[in-house]
Amino acid sequence: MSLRQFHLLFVTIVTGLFLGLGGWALKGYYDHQGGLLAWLGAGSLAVALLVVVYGAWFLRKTRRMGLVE
Amino acid sequence: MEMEIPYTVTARPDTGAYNAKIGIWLFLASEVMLFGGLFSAYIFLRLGATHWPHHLLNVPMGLFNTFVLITSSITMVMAWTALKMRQFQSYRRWLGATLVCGVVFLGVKSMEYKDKFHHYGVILNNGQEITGHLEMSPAEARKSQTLRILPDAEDSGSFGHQLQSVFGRPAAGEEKVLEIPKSDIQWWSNFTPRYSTYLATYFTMTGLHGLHIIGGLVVLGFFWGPGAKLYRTNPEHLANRVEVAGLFWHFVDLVWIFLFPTLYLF
Repeated sequence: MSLRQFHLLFVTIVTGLFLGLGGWALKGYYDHQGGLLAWLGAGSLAVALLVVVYGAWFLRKTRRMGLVE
Repeated sequence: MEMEIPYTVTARPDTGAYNAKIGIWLFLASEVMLFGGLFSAYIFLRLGATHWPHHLLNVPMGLFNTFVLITSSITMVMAWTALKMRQFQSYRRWLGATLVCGVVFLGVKSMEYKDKFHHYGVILNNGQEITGHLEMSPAEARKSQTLRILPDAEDSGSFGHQLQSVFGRPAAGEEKVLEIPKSDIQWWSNFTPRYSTYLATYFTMTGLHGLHIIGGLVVLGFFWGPGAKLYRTNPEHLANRVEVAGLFWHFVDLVWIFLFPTLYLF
């Protein structure tokens, strides 16, 4: 597995992390543990989306560069 | 006659990978077993425990460090792609940014460790646990017949309280300093590995991870500095070496991606 492929796997797992963090924070908010958790939840879900966008950009960039094995 | 080592730049036809890549994946396989064993131990210790602390670690600090390491993985892969495109200055910049991220991570981690070493827990003779900060020096506390401790606020485990504590000690609210006679105390200690199974596993896992970060920084520092000379004679060989270092760095970051929710959130 090349660094490119491992990086894409990493990006996938990071997306999962932020989806999970978003879920954890929103659950905490609904359990009445403070309004800050609502922001953390919404922020985490937004970051998860950004990471997906970055992954797609990285995939296109490395394909253009001919780094595909 | 000088003999050249084969397959340092091009892939071996039978394996499809160059030497160093085979080597790093064998090494990473052993690392998966090492950390896998620790994660398994954590799960079994936790399942078998009658009491397991929650919200003891500072989530905002852990989250900040998670962002730092994710950024470092991105800068690492950018350094490698820059090298593949033969953009040497860009390579140095991206790799330099990766080094900075690694140092920042260690700095924040050491702040977290320091905070734990200054946090105390007291087990009373009736089994009740009181946690907080000593209102006397540890040397005084050892000699004195009474412990003066400011207990943690009721909401000390909440995200908001933890966020405040990043920027200094939050207001204690209605909490008052307790004076506990040593005759009422069964056991007391700061938050070091000996305090509880949870803290022992926390320090073992994050400590081992921190050592991996230090090792990675040494290797990356070499490729940023003296090791970069290889670019003049064989840039593709340097790109392969950086790729291998990048695979290790990604693995170490991936371990943190699993450590963060395991230790900080659940």
